[in-house]
Amino acid sequence: MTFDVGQLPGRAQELKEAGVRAAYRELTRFGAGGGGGAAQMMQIAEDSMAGVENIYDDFLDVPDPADFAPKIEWLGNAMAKLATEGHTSDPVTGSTAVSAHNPNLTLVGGSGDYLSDWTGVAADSYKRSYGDRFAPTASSQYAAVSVLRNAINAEAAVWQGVRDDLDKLSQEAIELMEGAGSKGGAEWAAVLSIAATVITVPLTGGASAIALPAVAAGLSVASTGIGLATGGGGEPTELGLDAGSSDKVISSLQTALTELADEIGVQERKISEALNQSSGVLDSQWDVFCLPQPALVDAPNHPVNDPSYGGYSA
Amino acid sequence: MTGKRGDELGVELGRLWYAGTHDLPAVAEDYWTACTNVPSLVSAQCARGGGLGADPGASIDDYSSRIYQMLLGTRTSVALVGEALVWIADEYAKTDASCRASFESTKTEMEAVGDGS
Repeated sequence: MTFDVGQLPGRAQELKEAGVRAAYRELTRFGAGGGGGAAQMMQIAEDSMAGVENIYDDFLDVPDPADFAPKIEWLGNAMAKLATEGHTSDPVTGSTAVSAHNPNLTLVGGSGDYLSDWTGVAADSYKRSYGDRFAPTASSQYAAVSVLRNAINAEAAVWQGVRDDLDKLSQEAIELMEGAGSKGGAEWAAVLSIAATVITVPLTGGASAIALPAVAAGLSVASTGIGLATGGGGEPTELGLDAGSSDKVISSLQTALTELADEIGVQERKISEALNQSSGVLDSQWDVFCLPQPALVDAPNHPVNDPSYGGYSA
Repeated sequence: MTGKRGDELGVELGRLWYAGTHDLPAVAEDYWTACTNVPSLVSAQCARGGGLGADPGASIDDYSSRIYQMLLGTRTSVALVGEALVWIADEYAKTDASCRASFESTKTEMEAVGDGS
């Protein structure tokens, strides 16, 4: 269960109230003065926290990683249909088997064997150009689907990381604010996990060995149940922030939120770039991933023993 | 007519017929299942307010549509090959009366066994 961003407005309000108290403590450290001084100081403290209730507003309408889980499961189902013997693990993460292999995939090659004695040009080329190439092509399709599945999982990882970071930042901000004004020099070692959420993975497209740029999740995504991929990932970013006073806590939180927003873009661009490049690979190598329709399908439009199609069984 | 005749031809045509009526349709069905498991409009899940991040939804949708076309194209080809094999088996059997008995018995036997072996 990831953090519900619906809690952020409440935490922002809590932060604001703690901020007003902290600012008042800071202003009255040496006494509030007489003759309405306390009320004036409280007004100044409240003014210093104006707008804090909206500090998380940019993050209230963000994707829920759980919403990606069904699509990732569907793609696992698709991969199960494309899994040939020896190609059953996730090629992007290198993890254990996604499913058992699908024995039906050998049947197309078998149909080519049945035509091996037939003399027609289309019958002869069917075995070599389609039947024999079908299972290797399925393994390339399997890899291509895995690229999509892992890219969506990586996007889910981004938003799980964002929510984890918002949960920690919003709690830490309140805790630090509670202490602000009563002790000086507090530091805030805020850690953003989002920098490690998307990793790039060099992948070859199954039996075709054509490079398919891919990404994977750099953390285990709870809602999809897919573990993290290893290698090539970023490290969590540690931000050395100043939390020594009420206004510093707010400005440091704003710095952290800006960094978080920037890093979302960095991570998501990795996903877009990998998929755009892989789309280009599919376009340029389409026949490797989708075999051209064999000429044999046109046989019913010709005499049954037409030498250009079936011919006869020698 | 040149080439195989009689029982040998009938058995071979029976195998082609079985591949066209059972084996290849099974593969085509698997590909259709794979097609129906390719998500469309993942971009809807990626949507967010305020211009946050670098929404990859369009890139995901573009790639996903290629995957769908790849699987659908394969499914269509396999299904059409199956139809062609059945047509070849049926039509060729009509040209040679000597193979018809073994053609029919092979079809019956293979259907009873449930595979093309």
